[in-house]
Amino acid sequence: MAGKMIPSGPGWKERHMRNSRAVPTLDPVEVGDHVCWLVGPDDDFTTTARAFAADGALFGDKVLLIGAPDTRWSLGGAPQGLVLDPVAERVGGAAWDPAAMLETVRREADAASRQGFRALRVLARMDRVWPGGASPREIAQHELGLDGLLLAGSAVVVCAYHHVGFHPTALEQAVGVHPHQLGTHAEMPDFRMYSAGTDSWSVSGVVDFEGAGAFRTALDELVARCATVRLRCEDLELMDAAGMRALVDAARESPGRRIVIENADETFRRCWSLLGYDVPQIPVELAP
Amino acid sequence: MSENSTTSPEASHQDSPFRHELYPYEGDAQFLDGVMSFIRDARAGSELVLVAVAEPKERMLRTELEGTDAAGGVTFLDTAALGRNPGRLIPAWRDWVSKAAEGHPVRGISESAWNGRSPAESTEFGYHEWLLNLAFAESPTWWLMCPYDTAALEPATLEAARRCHPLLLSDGTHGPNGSYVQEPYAFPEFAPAADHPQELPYQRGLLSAVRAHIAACATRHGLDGARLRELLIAACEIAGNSIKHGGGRGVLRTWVEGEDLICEFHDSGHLKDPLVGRFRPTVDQVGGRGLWLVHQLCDLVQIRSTAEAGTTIRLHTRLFP
Repeated sequence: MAGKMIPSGPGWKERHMRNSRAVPTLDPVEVGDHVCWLVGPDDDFTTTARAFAADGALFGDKVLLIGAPDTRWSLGGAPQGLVLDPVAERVGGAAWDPAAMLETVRREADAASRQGFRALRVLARMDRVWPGGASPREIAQHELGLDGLLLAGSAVVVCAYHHVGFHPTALEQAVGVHPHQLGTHAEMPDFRMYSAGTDSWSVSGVVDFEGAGAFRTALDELVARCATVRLRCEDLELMDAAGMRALVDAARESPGRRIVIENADETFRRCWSLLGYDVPQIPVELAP
Repeated sequence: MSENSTTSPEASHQDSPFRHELYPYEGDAQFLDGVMSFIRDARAGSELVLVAVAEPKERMLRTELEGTDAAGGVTFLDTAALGRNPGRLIPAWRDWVSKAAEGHPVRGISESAWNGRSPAESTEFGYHEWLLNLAFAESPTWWLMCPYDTAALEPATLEAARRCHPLLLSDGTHGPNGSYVQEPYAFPEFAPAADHPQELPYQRGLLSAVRAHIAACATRHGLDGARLRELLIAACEIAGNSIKHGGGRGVLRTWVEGEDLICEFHDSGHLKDPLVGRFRPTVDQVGGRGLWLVHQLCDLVQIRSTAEAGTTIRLHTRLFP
């Protein structure tokens, strides 16, 4: 694909700030991106997937396709690639689950780096990873874990969620725990939660009552992972009473855990205080 | 200044721990006469006195109290810090009384500054007076005197006040108020919206459209920053209530009236509790935080709700505070 800008060169990772955004196509995705693609009935999945894989050759990426059920998926011009189908792997007796996907991405990203590739380029059909669908909590657990891997800047991952394979609440959850999204979907939650470092997560956008359930599920997953969860809120636009209640409940219902809110704006602080949450018995701290 | 006697109200009103008393007066001398008598009587019984009046009246009272035995038990409250929204007064009085009382009887004196109030604000203040009877029906014993200057106020304002106060201080005597009416508050009709208000139907999945609609309107009129964010949070709460409890959908209208940006939400739900949003929520309370937050964030909140007509809520935000 002539004319594409290739993000690379010394220090590009340091210069590349990780921010949530929607992308109109998969063409502009960058290393470190973690894209949620909700595949609707009118989307041409195969053509888009093939083009994404073919871009591997242009950018010097190793390609990993997960969930390719047959030869309709092509590695195109990718210099080297792997095609894995969890369904076929299971038929063959392998215990292939979302944890195996994480391990595969980790292993292949390391290998790609050693082999001189710019990065690992992953496209995963999530309805093949979870043929029977997945709960919001399972999705939060998987995607937040995967997002942590991407902080190293050695891979770009597109997770394709087909509408027919998942409950709407699962799809909402999926959108909320990816920093990037292909296209825009007005009916989806407006917040995005993604990794910002060790035990640190960014929350951007708006947490309102429509997204509070998905937000709470993501928080439950984070407090299960670490004793102190740091939420960076410099890109948070608004959080309403339901979102703040989700924070309180997630922290209180996991004894011994606490949540630290960093870079909260004056509106967040005022509402937090008005709701009476600035008391010691609530293990949520607003960092100065 | 004449001396008023401060006999207790009639027995028929002593079954409620809350004594809500209207004091119509004319001019500063009569104000001082009635209020100082009330304070002296309270202090004679070692009752604490909380005073929430406008700054000129506070100066007058401080001068009168200076050097007297009564001065020690009188606390002046800063109602200006609460802003213009009378929806914040009930929780404030609850806080003040509970902090001051600690089991002891308390008296309060509350006079709103009516100058400069818009008709909508005056209506909501009248409603606040009516709600006080409900809000403190189960409260610890306390006595709130509400002075009204008959020379300065509109007859309709005084008439509304007479209907909301069970007790009356008149001619130096405390007693039942014959004009008090125990019935639902009689709201006047909403003022019509400005010509061609912008309208947006909303339902689940469209809260972001509600925010975008309001932000666009607010920005056009110079509202931005923290005040815009606060309005957007309030809008989330109200539109969210429509979706959760008000039939799943509603209609938003926005317009500017005088110095206020008004966001009106209508849905088919019915808010049965007239005190909703008027009590500070506890940490463990389930629900009931949204309207509390809205009252704290907006300059005025008007709620009209019946089973037949549904619920209409107007949020006022002053564009140039």
